[in-house]
Amino acid sequence: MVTFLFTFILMASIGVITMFDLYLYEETLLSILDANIFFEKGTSQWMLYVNLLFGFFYGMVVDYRFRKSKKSSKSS
Amino acid sequence: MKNILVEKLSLWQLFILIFIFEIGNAAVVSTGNDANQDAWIAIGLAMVFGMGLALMYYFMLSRLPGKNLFEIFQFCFGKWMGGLLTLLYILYFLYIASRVLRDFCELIVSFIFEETPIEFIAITMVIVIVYMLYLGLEVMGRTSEVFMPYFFSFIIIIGIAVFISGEMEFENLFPILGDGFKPVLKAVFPQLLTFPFGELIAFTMIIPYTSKFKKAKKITLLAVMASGIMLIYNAVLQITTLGVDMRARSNFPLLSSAREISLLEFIERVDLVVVFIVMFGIIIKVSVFFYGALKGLELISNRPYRMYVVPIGAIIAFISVKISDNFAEHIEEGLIVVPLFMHVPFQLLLPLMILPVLLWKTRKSKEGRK
Amino acid sequence: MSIFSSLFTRKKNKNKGKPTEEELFKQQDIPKQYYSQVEKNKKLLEELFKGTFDFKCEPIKIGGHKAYLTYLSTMTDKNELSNRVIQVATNHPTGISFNNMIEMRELYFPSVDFKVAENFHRVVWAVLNGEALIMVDGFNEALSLGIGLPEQRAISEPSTQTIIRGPKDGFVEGLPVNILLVRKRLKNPRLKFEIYQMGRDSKTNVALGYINDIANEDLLKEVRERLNKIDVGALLDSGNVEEFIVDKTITPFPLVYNTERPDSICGHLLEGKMAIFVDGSPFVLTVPTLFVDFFQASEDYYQPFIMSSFVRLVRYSSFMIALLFPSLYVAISTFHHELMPTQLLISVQAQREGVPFPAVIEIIIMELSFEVLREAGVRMPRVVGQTVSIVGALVIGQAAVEAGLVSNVLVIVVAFTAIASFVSPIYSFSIATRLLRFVVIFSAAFMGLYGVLLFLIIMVIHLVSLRSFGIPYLAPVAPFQPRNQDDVFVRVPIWLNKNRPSYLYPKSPVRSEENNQPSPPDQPVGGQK
Repeated sequence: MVTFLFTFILMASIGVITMFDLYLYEETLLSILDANIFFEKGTSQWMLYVNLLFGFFYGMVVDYRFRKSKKSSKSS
Repeated sequence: MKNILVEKLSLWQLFILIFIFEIGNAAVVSTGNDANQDAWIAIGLAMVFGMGLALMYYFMLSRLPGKNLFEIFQFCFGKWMGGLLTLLYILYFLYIASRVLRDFCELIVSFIFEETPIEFIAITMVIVIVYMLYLGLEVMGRTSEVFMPYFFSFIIIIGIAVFISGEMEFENLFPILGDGFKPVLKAVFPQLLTFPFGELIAFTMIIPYTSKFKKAKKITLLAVMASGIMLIYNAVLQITTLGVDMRARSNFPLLSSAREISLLEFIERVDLVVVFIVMFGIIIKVSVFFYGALKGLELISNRPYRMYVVPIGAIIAFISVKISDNFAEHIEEGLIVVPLFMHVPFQLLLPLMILPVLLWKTRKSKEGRK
Repeated sequence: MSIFSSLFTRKKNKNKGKPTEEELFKQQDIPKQYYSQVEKNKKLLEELFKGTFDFKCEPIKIGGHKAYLTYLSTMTDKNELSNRVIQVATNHPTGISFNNMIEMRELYFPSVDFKVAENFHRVVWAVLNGEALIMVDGFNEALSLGIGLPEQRAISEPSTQTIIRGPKDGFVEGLPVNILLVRKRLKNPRLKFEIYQMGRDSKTNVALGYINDIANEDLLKEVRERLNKIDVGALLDSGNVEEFIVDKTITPFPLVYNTERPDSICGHLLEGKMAIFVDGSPFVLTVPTLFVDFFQASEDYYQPFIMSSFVRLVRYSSFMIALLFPSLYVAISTFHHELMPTQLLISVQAQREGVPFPAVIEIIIMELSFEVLREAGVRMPRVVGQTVSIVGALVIGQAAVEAGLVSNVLVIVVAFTAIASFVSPIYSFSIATRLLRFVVIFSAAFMGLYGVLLFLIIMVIHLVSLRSFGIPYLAPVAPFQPRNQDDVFVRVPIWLNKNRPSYLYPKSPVRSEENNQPSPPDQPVGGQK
């Protein structure tokens, strides 16, 4: 659930900022999406992706632990 | 996971939170430029409207005491429709949180660390915020209590120091209302009303958790008033020191005015003090929005919000950098798009639409009980 | 797998609470039964204490009855034993009969502290506690006589918390003496001391002291619960207890207050706190503990209040200096030259000219060597103390500068920081800043003043989230309680400080009600006009 909402909200927020960029600048949807999703080489934007990956795995771990505790509480 | 304690804020903590929240980044980025030298009048006017807004939000909450805004949605529109609205608001809160964070990152990058990557600042800030929110709302209240005296006195002291340095020119304030009332109104709506005062909508997620809900109304109004007065003080300080043109052109007028300070040929360049004010203000502001979004997620998914703190924090850091490529773009978006598509609908239109439904539903339920 | 299961069982034990005295003995295969045939008991005891040179079991005669006097010779006072027990028993005329132990004690040892041991566990316990045990043939209980323990360290001035004005006595290692020191000051029947035995192997006495009509019931219950939960091999110092009862272990800040001063314990008891005495430790704990406690010395209350308020502010600022001064130096001299006034900057940079290291390395070398000196200064034998201090002062102070390893300003920074860190009246608090200092230095080296600010905010968040027995650690400041501000940053005169701190929820919140502000007499003295 955490992982799902994480991905969903990430997608949705990227959608929101893409929408605003589209409204403001006369560029194609693809180029904006490209700028918003992938990172420019040579900059330090890789930190953000490491960060996101960490968030993603954290979400998975939380999900796993939550499911496990739910199961054990049900069985007991 | 952690045992869930009942989280309660005291009224004093609520006051401080609103105060810091309102001043937060409004003190540093230039606001109300449309009104020229009358920006402070515009802020005063916006404050009055802001108090009206706060009253409306409080009124909504008081119809169903103990429930926050998203629970009210569910009450009014059922689970699915309410969930959808909640999701929209979550996105809104997260977006604004990222914007606010970006403001700070820009400040640091353009004034203090020219060579530090902006991503680094964003991530470190988010780590602090995540740590605070993971420990809960009470910790946030108490932290702001610790920093409040410094926050408050530093803003005041900057004004006094600039004054003593002899950099203030009060002629800059005149003529008062020289161009009539129109520019003032133009500055108030929609810009000043929505930012910072309309952003109080995030407190609809916090006010229900104060220990004395009935007194929260008075405290909220007082806090809005106090922060409005502080912002007026700030605007006057900036206009008198920098002049109208300089203020409009400067990205961070408070910082520029603070740089004019020179006391005893020893106390110069008090940038750090300003950075502290902004930093703490921004931490609180982002946390409040973030908390609102987390509470929404808690409601949607029926899991404790602590689970979401770390992943969603990562998203905030990501979005805050990706939100725009440079500062000019960021400001342009903030001035054109955000008030129109984000602030006005989410702060004014949606609550106004919900209000009649809420009134009708609560009336019915009250009659039913009788 | 076995590791896990053992972990699991330990947890189960903990939930059950600490094992009782009887269970402890049962685990060591000590029988419970006490026989009326004294020979049997003697044999059992001798079996148990086999190989112990100081175990004595001497046959005596009491009123014609056959009896054994049992004691540990190292734990009992020889004079007392012979004067009050052996001589009395042997000189007394025979033939006076008694029916039970209490009667016997009334006849023979009327002025001696006593206990009746009705089972074998108690008998062993009494012997271990240094009591003289009399087992009489034909009775199914024994009499244990508490005769004074042998010599202990005399009461002397506390070595860690010295003051200029105020009582000079300090706690010693013996529990009874420590309790005496407190009782002498608070003559109040409501001052209670509960006794606990802890430690599977050590059986240490731990006393919980509180004033019944001040201390809050819920807090007291919580403290008792936590003390009862302690299940440990041995308790050698109150520091061991401290680790068991804190709310959160992963924190550099001490969550339990410790002191060697009886007057400061009394002050805490009177505020509504509880004191935990551990036998064998001169450091007494008080709970719950707040951040501000570590900035209050007991001397504050004996000196004029204006002075002590000032001193208190000095303490708070020196805490900040000890924490932040080196990191500010690093941050400003590497990232933010512009924040320094020009003249100062020039003189600082001129001195740094010959130094080969960046400021961070420089300061870490100095701080580390200071830490080494400090540790050596504590551990080394007193005799060689002077050598180390001279060498240290020379190496750290002069030679390093002259060799061009570090700059002069840096020596000032490190020295001042070191002095500032000793200002806190409680040692365990001043060592908290030691570790944090390095953290800030690193964060300043990476991120400059922004890093320092980040660290400060994280530290405050951490401090704010701490609780000591459920009481917020930063209590009168955050959550802010205007009523309790009279003894935090400044101290108001004692006649104005009428209320006990309300964050401890004391049962009787008022200290004194009358307005007893001193004033000159209405009539002129001596009738002059």
